[in-house]
Amino acid sequence: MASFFGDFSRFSSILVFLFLEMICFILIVQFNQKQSDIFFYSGSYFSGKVLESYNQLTNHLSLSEVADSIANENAALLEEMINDRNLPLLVFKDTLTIEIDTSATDQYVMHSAQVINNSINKNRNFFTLNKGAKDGIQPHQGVLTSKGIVGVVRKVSENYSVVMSLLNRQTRISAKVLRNGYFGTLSWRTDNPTIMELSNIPKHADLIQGDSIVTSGFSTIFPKGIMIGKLKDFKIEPGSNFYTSKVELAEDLSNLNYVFVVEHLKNEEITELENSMENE
Amino acid sequence: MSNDIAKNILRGVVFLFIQVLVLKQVEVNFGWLTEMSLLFYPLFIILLPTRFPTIAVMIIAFFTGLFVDVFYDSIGVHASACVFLAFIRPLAFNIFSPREGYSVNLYPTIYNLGFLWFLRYCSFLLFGFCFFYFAMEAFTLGYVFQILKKTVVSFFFSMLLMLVFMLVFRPKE
Repeated sequence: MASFFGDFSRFSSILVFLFLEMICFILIVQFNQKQSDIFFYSGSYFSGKVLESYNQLTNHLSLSEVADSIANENAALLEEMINDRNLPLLVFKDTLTIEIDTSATDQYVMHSAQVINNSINKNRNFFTLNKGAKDGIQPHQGVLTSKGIVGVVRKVSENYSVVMSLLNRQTRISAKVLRNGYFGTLSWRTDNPTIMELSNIPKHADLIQGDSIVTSGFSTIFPKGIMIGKLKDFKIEPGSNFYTSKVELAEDLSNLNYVFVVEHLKNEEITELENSMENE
Repeated sequence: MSNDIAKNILRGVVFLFIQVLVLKQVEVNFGWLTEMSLLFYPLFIILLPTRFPTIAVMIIAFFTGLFVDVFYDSIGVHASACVFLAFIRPLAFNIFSPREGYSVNLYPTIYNLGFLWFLRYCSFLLFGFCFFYFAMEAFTLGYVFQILKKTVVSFFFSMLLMLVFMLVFRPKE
């Protein structure tokens, strides 16, 4: 019983203590300019913090929209850059003909898209994009990231498209050595998802380990000069006139998120022309 | 009992007037000592008899502090520190309890419990008081270093003053 009362009196003294301190607190804030300033400033500081964290939270929720808009912006910038890259060639042509060919300036359009499904462990790998015919994506358009090329569009539905990854047995990409312009064919040997094989480079070409391999621009799929990777090692098979070389890909295809699809505006015209040749 | 109350009221009034009329005027313009406030009146609460219930002591301390606040123009600051002092008084009694315990009607003085005991007891309470007082005065924990500096300086000189008082007058009660 005694301990009960002891506990009770201790408890009640704590209550009285808190009560008196609360009165003191109110008095301090009421009657002292400095302390009341601090109190109200702290109050607004606290509410400010709460509002700020709330803002951050809502920002997080709208982050994917922001990322989408940035991807679109990047696509526009890349488009400008790639179209610009063709300019020196154009200037060279112009100096010969003394005639400005404006039709050749804007040949490429970029569409940004997000990879929603991807594989790298099969013989024929494909990945899926969240944009389709509605957004202007057509089969045989190239797909790239800011680091390098990653694939070619194969099938398109209204809202989605399936892209043949570089890591596909059927991949054949025309590529060239940036330093000296010798070109060959890029294919994949289905063993290592970071390495591709570059064949058909004639054996008189001098190669250096670490040479940049870029797209040749001989097809309408990729603009020319887009990064593919670096030359890792090369050899000449006995009796062959061509190098067999390994290229380390610039882009990690197992970790794709935002990609760009390249649309060649004169694609149809060129294909038509080439097909008419074959039919003759 | 009524004798006790009368004695304490008299002591309280004397201490308070010493505080607000004399010690409040003391200002030292020398280095760290400018931070010093001499706080003598808490000795009144420190010296209240051990058997006073904590709640009563806290209420007395509240009004004592409020009285000082009126003169210091800082309503609530001294009062809150005094209430805190009264609140931790039983804790100090427990921590520094002498081996034979406390006799029934006891004033915690040097005369009754010895110099060393009083030194520990008084410094514990006064340090708590000073820290709480300066924390309340700054009203933010952003200046912990400032608060501690003021606490240490004021504590040292106030403690000196209290010990001188206790040794000179040697109050039994």
